[in-house]
Amino acid sequence: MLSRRAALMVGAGLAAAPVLVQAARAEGSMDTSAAAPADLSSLPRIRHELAIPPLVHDHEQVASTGPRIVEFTMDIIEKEIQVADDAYLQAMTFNGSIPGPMMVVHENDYVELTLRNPATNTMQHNIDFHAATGALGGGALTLINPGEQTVLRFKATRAGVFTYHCAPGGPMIPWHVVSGMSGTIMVLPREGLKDVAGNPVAYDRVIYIGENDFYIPKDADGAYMRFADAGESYPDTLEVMNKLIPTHVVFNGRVGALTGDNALTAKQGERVLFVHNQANRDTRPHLIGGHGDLVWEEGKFHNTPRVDLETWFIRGGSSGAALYKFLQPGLYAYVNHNLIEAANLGATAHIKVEGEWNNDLMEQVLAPSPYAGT
Amino acid sequence: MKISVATLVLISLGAMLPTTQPPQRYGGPELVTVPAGGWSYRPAGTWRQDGRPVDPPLQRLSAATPLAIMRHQVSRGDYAACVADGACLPAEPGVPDEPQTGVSWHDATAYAAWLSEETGATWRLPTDAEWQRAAAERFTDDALGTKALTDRWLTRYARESEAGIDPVLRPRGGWGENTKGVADLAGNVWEWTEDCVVTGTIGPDGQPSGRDEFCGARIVEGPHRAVVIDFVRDARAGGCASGVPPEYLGFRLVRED
Ligand SMILES: [Cu+2]
Repeated sequence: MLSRRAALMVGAGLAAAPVLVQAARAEGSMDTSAAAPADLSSLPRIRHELAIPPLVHDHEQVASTGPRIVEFTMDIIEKEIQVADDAYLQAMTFNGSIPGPMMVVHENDYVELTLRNPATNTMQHNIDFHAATGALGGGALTLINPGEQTVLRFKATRAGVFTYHCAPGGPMIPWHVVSGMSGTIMVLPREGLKDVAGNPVAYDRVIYIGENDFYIPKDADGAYMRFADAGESYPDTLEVMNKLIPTHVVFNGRVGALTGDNALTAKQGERVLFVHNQANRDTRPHLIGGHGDLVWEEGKFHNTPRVDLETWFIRGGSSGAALYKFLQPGLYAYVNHNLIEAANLGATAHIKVEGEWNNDLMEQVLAPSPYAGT
Repeated sequence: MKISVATLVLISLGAMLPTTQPPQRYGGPELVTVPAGGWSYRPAGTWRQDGRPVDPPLQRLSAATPLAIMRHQVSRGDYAACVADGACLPAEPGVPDEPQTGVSWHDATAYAAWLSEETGATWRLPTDAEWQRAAAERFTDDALGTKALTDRWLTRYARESEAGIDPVLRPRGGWGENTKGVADLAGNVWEWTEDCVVTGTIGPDGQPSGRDEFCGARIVEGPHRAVVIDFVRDARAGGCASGVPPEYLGFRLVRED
């Protein structure tokens, strides 16, 4: 069908042009609207290298300093990925991972993101931060062609876990999102998280789950179609998307990304903050065998967390957070509790927990054995 | 593909008028000849001066040769012949006399290649400058006249929203002709052009000092100018970054003489 090679070559040609980088830098000075420039020269800067999900870069839970400018760099990567044994996706990604990497800052820090669209890509991309104020979440200031980069700075004025996603205009928006372009930024209160009574609570680590609904077309024989590039996949994918029935609902980019050899691990007594992002579709995480001790269902930390939840609701287009202390060893399943999506479409993660069994919490009083009933 | 304004004019100057009409399997599309001469041209794209968005200057272009452009947009009937020949992908069905809508830039260029093969002449999409030349008073200048970013967004949005475009498709000729005799310009069917998306800089003298192109999206012309990804066939759900999207996507071709 239509080859995207022509566009690729043009993109490669753009890389040689220094003009674009200069223009982007100038815009990066944030004198974007001829308005008075913000003087942030006195603020300290810190730079974090992003981690690959489900991991999150090292960070403080309670801020030890005043507000800072926190620098991140993300490269947008278009590439084919395998999402199941028999299915491939022409994916678009922030920094090569699905979900995009988690950024962690504190309330009133300034997020300064360098976003780069390598010349080897074929499409325009941008970033819309639900945590940011104005300019379509930054989307209107960050649309970049292959071979361009841009720097966006915004003040993280609200605490919580927030979705970010690509939003390059019109029908490209949902397509880029369901091709993998979404992730979470976590804005912690400077004093850290608090429980219902307002007492500080800490986590031992974060497990970052990005849930995606994929819409992969099938050919006449019912086999998943594979495409030469993203543009070629668009018409057939759009047809599947518009029926709203995903072919795959997965955690972290593919069926089995967080199970089997890739299963997550924890220790008894460990407090894990599960951060769950779904940029496009509602979901309902449930930890089989465990609970949500403290759940910020809407993901915003200045709301009182809910306690003892069995299942919590993540609105499409948001991130939520649930803190749980593992009390028993063994295997746990973290699922989207639409169980068809969990078991048949892929939305399952497993957590292997080490420790000593607690018979007070649960005991097998009688192992399954025959009985003489009629 | 890069075409500077200078090159564009040179191409026009270097072209020669054919002495005979090429053989045609059918009557061939009706053409309008826009005479040699000058016209004003507003470049498309995002232009910045000292990092701030600005309008590119209005330029004066001239061509020593006439421009042969289809009087009407390619109709469903025209396009169906290409589909029947297996050279074009099927697109939105409908009345043969209506413009062919629901076509991507790739569909349009496939049709141009097929028509060139059929007629022995060279057909292609017009450049944005050529479209403005043929459209004359039907071209909507999109200069915003302000440097403040917020005002630029809101002005553009307001202009596009106020246009109040009739969503009903009209048969060919339904939008009338402009002063050049070209029909249905800037009705409700936007037309693909050859032009890629431009990011440019304006120097201290107010003139373009640098430009670069991204060809995964192309300029479409209609009641307002827009940028559409080349494989998109229906931009109604969006298309301009955050403005009002083109109602329909169609095209007309120019013949290189
Ligand atoms: Cu994107």
